[in-house]
Amino acid sequence: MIKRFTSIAILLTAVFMISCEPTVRTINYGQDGCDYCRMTIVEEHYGSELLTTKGKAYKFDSIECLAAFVIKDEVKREYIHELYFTDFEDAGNLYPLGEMIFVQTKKLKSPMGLNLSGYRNQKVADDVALLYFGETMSWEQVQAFVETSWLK
Amino acid sequence: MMSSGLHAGLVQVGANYPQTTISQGLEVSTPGDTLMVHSGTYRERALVVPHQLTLIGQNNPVIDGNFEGEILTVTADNVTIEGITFKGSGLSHLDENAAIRFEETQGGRVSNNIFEDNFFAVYISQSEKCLIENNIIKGQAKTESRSGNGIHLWYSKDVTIRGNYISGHRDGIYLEFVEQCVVTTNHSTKNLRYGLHFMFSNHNEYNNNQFDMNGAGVAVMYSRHVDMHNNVFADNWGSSAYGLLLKDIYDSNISDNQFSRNTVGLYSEACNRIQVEENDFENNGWAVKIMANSMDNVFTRNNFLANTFDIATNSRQNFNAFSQNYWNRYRGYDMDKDGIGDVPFRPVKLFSLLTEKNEPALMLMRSIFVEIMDLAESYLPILTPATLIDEEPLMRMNQ
Repeated sequence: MIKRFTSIAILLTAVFMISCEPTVRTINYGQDGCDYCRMTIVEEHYGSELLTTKGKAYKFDSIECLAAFVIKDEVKREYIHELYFTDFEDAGNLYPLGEMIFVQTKKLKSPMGLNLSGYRNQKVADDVALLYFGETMSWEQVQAFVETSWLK
Repeated sequence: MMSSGLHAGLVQVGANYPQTTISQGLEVSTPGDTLMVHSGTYRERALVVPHQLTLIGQNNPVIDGNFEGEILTVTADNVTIEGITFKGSGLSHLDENAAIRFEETQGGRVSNNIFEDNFFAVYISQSEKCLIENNIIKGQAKTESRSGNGIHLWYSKDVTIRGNYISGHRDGIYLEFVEQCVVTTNHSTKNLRYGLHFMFSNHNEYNNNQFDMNGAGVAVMYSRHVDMHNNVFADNWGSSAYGLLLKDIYDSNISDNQFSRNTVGLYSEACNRIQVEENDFENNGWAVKIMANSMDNVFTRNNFLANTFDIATNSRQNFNAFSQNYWNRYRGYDMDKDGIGDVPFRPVKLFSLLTEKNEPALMLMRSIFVEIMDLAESYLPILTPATLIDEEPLMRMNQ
C-alpha cells in the first residue's frame, strides 16, 4: 500500500516537474504568425522563439523581430526563460542563444530585411561573413544593430 | 544609305532556322531587333538580354530552366518579352532565382507570358517604368519556404502590374522599397502566404484586384500613402490569417472594398490617419480588429453584415472615429425618419474584449452566460471602450 502510494507520489511529482519546465515549441511554418511583425512565419532559415519562465512561447519570423521584441520589453527581462534561434545550416530546428553566433550580410535576405542569420559553428559563421561580405555579431551587437536600424 | 540603328532587324530562333537556340539568337541580335522564338522547348538558362530587344514567342515556345539558377536576365532598357512560357527557375535559399529578372533597367515590359513551377517568376530589381501585364503565373505550391514570390519588386519605381493571375507562390505580389506603383485587376489566389505584400513602400495604389484563398490574406506593412480601393479580400481562414493586415500604415485610404469570409477582415496595428469608408464587411469572424496603438482612423459609411464580431480591440482606450456605418446588429429606432438611428451603437462586445486578452475563452461563445454579460455591458458599459461608439448608425445599408 505504502509502496503504491510512493510510486504514485513519484509519478505525480514527475508529471508536475515536466509540466513546469518550459520547453521550446516547434514553429509551424506557414501557420504561426510572428508575435512582433504579425507576418505569417514561412522561412525555415530564420524562425526564432522566446520562451517565458511560465512556458509561454512567442514566435518570430526573423532574428530582428525577436531582438526588437526583447529591446522593447514586450516581456519583462526577468520572465524570459530562454531565446531560441535557427541554425542556418540546420533549418527548421531551434537552438538556445548560448550556442549561437550571428551574421549580417545582404546576401542572405531575412523576412524583415535586416538580413541577420544564426549559426552554432563559429567557423561556419566566419566563412559566411567572409564569403558574403558580411560581419559576425554577438547577441549584444545584434540588439544594438536592430535598435539603430528600427527603433531610433 | 541606312544605318542599322534605324532599321530594326528580325532574328528568328527555332528548329528550322539558322539560330536553333535562344542564346545563339541573342548573340547575333543587335540593339532594337525583334527576336522571334518559334514553338518548341528550349532547355536554356542564364540567358542575358544586353541591349534593347523585343522577344516574341510564336505558337507557345517553352524555355525550361531545369530548376537550376535563373532563366533570363535583362540588363538593358526598353526590353519587351511576350508570348513565352517560362518553366523551372532554380530553388535556392541563397539566391532569389527568377524566371525573368530586370536589373537596373527602364521601360521593361512582360506581357502575355506563362510562368510555371518557378522559384520566383518575375523579379524587378532597381528598375523603373515597367509594365507586367496579363501573365499567368503558377508556382509549385508545395511548402512555404520552398517557393519564392510570383511578382517581386525591390527598390523600384513607377511599375504597373495589371491583369495577371498568380497562384502557388509564397507571396503572389511582393513590393519592398517601391514607389508610385499601380497594382490593378489582378487575381492572386491560393498563394502560400499573402496574395499581395507591401513592405516599406510609400505612395502606391492597388485597386480592382481579387485576393482570395491565400494562406494569410494581404499584408500592407510599414508604408505611407497607400491607396486601396475596389478590391476583394475573401476566404482567408487560419489563426494568423487576415483579409487585410495593416501594420505601421499612415495616411492611407481604404474604400469600396469587400471583406468576406475571413478570420479577421481588417486588422490594424500601429496605424494612423487611415480613412476606411464604404467597404462591405460580411461573414467574417471579426470584421475589424483595431489595436490600441492605432489612432485617428476614421470608419464611415461601411456595411457590417453577419460578422461574428463587428469590432474588437485590446483596450478600453479608443482614439478612432466611427460614424454613419450600417450595422446589421443594430436594434435602434429612427423616430425622426432621417435614416440615422436615434440611439448610438456600440460595436465592441465585452466578450470580444475578453477573448482578445484570453483566447481560450472563445470556447464560451454562444453560451447563455456570455449573452447575459454582453447584454449587461451594452446597457452599462464598464469594460468596453467608452468612446468606441457609432453615434449615427445608419438604418439602411449603404448602397
